[in-house]
Amino acid sequence: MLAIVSTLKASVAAGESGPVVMLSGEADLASAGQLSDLLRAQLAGGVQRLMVDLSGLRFAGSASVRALLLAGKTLRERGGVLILARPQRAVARVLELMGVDELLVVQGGASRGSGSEAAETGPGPNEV
Amino acid sequence: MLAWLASMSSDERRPVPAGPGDGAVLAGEQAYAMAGAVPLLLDQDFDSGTLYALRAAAQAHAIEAGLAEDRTDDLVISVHELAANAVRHGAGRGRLRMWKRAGALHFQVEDGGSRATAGQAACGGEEAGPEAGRENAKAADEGPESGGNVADHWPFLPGHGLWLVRLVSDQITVSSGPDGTRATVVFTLSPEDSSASSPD
Repeated sequence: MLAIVSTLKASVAAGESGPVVMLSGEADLASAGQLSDLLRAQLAGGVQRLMVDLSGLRFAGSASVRALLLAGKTLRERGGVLILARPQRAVARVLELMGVDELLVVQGGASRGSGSEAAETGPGPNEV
Repeated sequence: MLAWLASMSSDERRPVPAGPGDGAVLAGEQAYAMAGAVPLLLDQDFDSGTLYALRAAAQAHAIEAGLAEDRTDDLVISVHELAANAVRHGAGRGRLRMWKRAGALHFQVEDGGSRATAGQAACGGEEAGPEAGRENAKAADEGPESGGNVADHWPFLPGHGLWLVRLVSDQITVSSGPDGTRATVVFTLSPEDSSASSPD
């Protein structure tokens, strides 16, 4: 079998209103399974609100975005919410292309073009 | 979202070997033959463990070729999604070639082809949802003749690789043959892009 090199780093911290998953590096085919497992483990506790901080993530492929969408669906079905925070430009682009902003809450982060505007739904890139 | 789902599903079942692009688009082999006259900017093999290096190389060459920043993001997404398709639905590895010609950046992703046989290629592993199941059933119904259908090899599903590439690129041509599946993608360089040949 092929060697799998994961370029994704993930950690979980306790936020004020639920766990915060911090992702950094690059999320691609090699790490999509790892990301799914991590999200599933967080959801297993019955949380209602899960935040995924994308600010350190340089790239996300469609397989990884689908893992996020799936977690968001699980949360929605139990009346909860998945929040994607502060995506970098390239990640924000994939989220936009896949219509993720229609299904999940995306806060802050980069937008396409001049880069001076925050995503419509977010409080702005300065918000921490 | 459901609108594109419906529009996509008719396309992906159309048995057109030349792929989802319009009829005027060159088939992959022709495009590459024409590229023989120009030097390759990039020729790199990849597998599931080296996609990060592939993205980095593609990004560097796109910027060097003068592609705008936002378009470079889209090119990197395209390279990644097609390479991921090759890994998932082809032989688990593939090859990327990139060249610049006639005011455009072209790249081509080939899978190794060994797994791209009728019946098996449509089993998308983690990808397999209801859509993939239908593709599979369709492939079985049509028998060997379905071998020319691109969708049998790389599923053309909303939100997935080929679909994303079609959204962001100027042209995509996909062809399947005994040697596997090959996608050729074009990103045109705007006049401003071409003049700004060095990164700022």
